[in-house]
Amino acid sequence: MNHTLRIEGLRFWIDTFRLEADFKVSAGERVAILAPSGSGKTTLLRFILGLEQKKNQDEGELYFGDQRLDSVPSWKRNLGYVPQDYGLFINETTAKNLEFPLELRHVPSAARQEKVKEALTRVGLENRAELRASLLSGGEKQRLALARALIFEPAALLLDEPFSALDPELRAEARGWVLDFLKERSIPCLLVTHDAADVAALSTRVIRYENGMFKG
Amino acid sequence: MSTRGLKILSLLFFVLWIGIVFAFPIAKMAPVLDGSVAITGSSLDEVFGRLRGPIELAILSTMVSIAIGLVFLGLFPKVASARLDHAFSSLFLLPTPLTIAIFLWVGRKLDIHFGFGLVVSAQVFLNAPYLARELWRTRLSLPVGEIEVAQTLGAGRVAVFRRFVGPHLIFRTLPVVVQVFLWCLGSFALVLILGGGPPVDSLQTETYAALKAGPDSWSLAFAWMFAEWGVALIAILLALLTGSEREGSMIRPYPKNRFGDWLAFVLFVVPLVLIGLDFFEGSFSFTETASFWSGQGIQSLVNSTLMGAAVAVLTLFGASLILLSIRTYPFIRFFFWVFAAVPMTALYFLFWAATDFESELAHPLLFVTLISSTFLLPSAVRFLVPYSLRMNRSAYETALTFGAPPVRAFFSSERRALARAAKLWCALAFLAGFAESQVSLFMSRSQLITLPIYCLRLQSQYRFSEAAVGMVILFIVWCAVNVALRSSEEGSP
Repeated sequence: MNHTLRIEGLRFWIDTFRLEADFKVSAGERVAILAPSGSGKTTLLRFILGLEQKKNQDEGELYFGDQRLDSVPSWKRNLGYVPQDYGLFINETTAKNLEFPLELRHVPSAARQEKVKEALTRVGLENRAELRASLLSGGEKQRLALARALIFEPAALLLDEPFSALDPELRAEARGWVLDFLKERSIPCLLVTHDAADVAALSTRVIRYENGMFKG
Repeated sequence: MSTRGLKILSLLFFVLWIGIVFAFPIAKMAPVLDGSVAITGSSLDEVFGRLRGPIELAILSTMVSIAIGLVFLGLFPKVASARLDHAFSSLFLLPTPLTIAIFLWVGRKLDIHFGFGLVVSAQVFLNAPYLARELWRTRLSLPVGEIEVAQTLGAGRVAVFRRFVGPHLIFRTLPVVVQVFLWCLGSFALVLILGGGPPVDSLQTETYAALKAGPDSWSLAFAWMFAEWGVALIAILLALLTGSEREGSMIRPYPKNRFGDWLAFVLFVVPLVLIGLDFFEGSFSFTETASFWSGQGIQSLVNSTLMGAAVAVLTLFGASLILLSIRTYPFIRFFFWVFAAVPMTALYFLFWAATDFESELAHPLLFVTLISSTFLLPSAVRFLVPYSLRMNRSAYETALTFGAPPVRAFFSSERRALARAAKLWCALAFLAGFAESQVSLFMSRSQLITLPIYCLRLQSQYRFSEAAVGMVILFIVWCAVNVALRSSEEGSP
């Protein structure tokens, strides 16, 4: 099966702001998007995720392999996502955060527990399983968000400045985590960042913002 | 005063509050507990036989208010605006005599003279906008970020509703629904006048009637009080069970909506128009309005003004001390809320039975003001808690490093927020004290005439011309307080 994420001739309007993109990310590729603030990086990710819907005046298509994704609701796209603020369910425990996507995929309870335990050990949060997510430290939150985005084996991974809230030491450690995860999985990964060090450490290719368009 | 002194003072104040509200009346009642307040089998039978009426009234009013609130929720994208939100909350604060004036006029137009329908309509008029506002705020405080991430993880509409929207809706609105239900259940002057007597009664009008009938009926009053306490406890427990502490639900600002702003203006003006119509219909005469300035009217205005100002100052001072004691001695929080949950009727009863006509009521204004302030204290604490939680810890700690002692550091770092909270609460408490009718009616045994009581009496005797000046003053004060609230509300939690 073809595991390429592809955007063709996108012209997407939000009020008077126009977002244009045309690129693809192949399986196993880790592509960084480098662009100035206000260029629409997060909006682009939200469009890919289905959180921003295409309207009549918008043009272009979004594909995953041969399947067109534009009209697929966000909850059926099977894409892993780590937003800038991690998007954790702060009133739930660490384990419940990880269980959530597995419950939605009707993974049997025993298998679910097993997977959660494995993921917690993997990211070093086994002692934090029953702690409310809001009480985790910054680095722990980041690891939990990443583990949750990958626990249901998504078709692609989208990261929106996932290290911006971490201090330099934790950033380096977190990059290591992400790289280890991604090397094990041959899925497309799209990373939005401001930091050249993130690009150097993680990406295999860079999409640039030229003349108002994301191209690469 | 030193920090330690202030902390001890706050603890003493808390003890004093418990003493005034509970220990004093109970101690004073002890010698007269000769069996007249024991709940007898016959009084219980009577209460159970008549309990259905007040509960039906409260349920119907609450359900209709929720239904209208849901309609407004559906209209959210078309009409929601910050001004309309404010107009909705203003209606909830409309003084009782003004609400009664509106519905007496509506009743005359529809040829409904007192009764169930009129009471339900008036309660819905006050509560439906308030519920709509809370539903809007629920919508504006949905954890959008979490919902979006859940969608990317595979949560469809049903899963999102079950895991996020539903719990959030229950967490935010159930306590408000319970509050509205309890308010309808205990509604007093509105039911007393618009209901026109039995069979339209609330639990408080029943208690009032039993207390007024004298010591022989105290057994019945006691049973009514317990009935209200029981129903209130069930409702409060329900709200507590669902309202566990949740984080991450900040209210986002309203979108700009000119239509909503216009609607807010209309909502603000409608009561004025209806009250005006109420005045000028029938036998209204300008010459009769002059009686306000020569008789009891002017005295009632002075009483209400003094009471409003005193209630504002006393509750602000008291609530600040209680908040300080709660922060200093965390165990006090539990005791405070346990005592604050006791229904007002229970407290009225205790005070009614314990007060002595000759001594306490020698100064009815002072007595009623102190009791009103004491009763309003839990609301003041509830109002001020969010401000105390939003304390700027960093500024406070920086002030400490500059050498400021804790109390000084607290006041210097929180001056602006404290000033805003104080201004807002004083405006609300002044209106509450100025438009107060319940405690005055209950507690002063007709010895204290406040402006609302003056108006209510004349209204119930169809002497609208004489009530007109008082009503206009009530309306002006209501408007002024709402304007003050509006200007101070920016940035409040």
